[in-house]
Amino acid sequence: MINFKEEIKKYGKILEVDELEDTIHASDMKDIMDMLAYICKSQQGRYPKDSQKR
Amino acid sequence: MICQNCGSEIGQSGICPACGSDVRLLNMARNASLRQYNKGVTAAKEGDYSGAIEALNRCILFDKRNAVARNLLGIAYYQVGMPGNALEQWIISSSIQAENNPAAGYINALQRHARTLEKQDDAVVMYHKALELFQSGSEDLAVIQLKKAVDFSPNFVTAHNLLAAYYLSRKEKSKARFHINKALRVDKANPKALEYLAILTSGGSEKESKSKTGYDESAARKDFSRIIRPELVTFVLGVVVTAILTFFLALPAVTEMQESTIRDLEQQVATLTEENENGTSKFALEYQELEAENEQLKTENEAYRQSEANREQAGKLQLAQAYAVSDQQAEAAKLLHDLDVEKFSEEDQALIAQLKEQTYTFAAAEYYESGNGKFSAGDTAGAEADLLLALEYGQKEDFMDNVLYLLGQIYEEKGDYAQAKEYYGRVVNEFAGSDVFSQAEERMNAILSL
Repeated sequence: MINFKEEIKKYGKILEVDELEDTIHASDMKDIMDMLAYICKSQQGRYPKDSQKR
Repeated sequence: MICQNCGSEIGQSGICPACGSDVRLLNMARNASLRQYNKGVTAAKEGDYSGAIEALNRCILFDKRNAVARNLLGIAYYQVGMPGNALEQWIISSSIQAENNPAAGYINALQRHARTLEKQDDAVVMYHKALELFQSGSEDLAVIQLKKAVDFSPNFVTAHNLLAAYYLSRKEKSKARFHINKALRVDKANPKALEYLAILTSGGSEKESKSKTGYDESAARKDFSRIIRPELVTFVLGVVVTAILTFFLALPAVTEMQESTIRDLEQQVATLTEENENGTSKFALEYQELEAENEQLKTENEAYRQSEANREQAGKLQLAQAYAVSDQQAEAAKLLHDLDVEKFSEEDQALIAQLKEQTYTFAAAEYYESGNGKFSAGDTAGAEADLLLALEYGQKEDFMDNVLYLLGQIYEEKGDYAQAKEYYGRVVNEFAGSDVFSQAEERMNAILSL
């Protein structure tokens, strides 16, 4: 019917209130916009002349 | 145009000269974020909190500064019993947008209901403890922790799902169904709960069914399982165990009491047997008393009966006297004839004799005349009876020879020659001057010659 030992592995940890402070301070989460900005910035640095040519 | 990334002025190129961001790409990302936010809102409105959480997490993956999405994500987390995650989103939302942000109100509301928050957070701690216990093989303890968790936080969908998974693995379908229903009641499209429901339904034995009458049997079973709660089972078990312990503790005392009773009864039997053999038992004595009483009553009854008979005899005597005085001699003679003379006093006996002497002759004459008439009429049986009475009452009256002679003829006709000969012989022997002497003698000789 169900393999409980396998099933239980799908259950993860849930954030406890006591852990909130550490979690929020530690999370320097990047979003897609950060990544795009980072990519754009990297490309700008890597190919500055190309962009100027354009 | 202002760069949304750094706030610098952007020219027509669409590329931020300060940070190098491509505004077109950023707008595309923002639009994607908004689409996910809209999905999340729709799902949340429909009560599909897990779908909302999924969409809103994608939303903030595209745009982490979307405070509105974070607020809604926090609400969705809170609805499914995850207050830590909810607070996390609201705190970040507040940090992104300090003013006019409802997240602050949500946080304040939780702080006002600190006890509720504490219980919900304790439920999460218990859930973690249950996970550890399951992994260490202590399933019973883990289930206890999970049950406490859902008791503390009834909307804790993940805990309900885990319990459902456990019960499914144990094939305890009704319990699994109970927790699946609980989870789906909070989160209508929870993927885990739906997956378990599908497994449960495909299991076959506990498919939703309605009887021919339309009665929902599964609902009835559900109600029944609600009634048969673990507390009730525990209580019943407690009663049974108490009864067993009481039985075993009381058994020796009961046995001793019964043995004592048996000894007493045996003693009573022995005593009664001895008394019975000696005739001194209560029943024997009572029987003897009753026997004596019975004898006494018999004696008294006999005396009473005798007294009654004597009174009757005395009454007859008095009546006979009355008849004699009133010249009804024959009637008087008949009463006197029935009297038992021995029971009367000597004085009365003398009176009876006197009355008999006075009345018997009249009675004999009366019976003689009656018998003679019946004989002449051919009624020999009637004549015989009357003549025998006449013979009984009579002594030596002058008609007694005729009485004897008539009786001799009657018995001769009946063929009783011996009796006939006796009557004829009495005429010959006792009445020599009788007018029927010769006839009697002749008949007697005729009989003797037979």
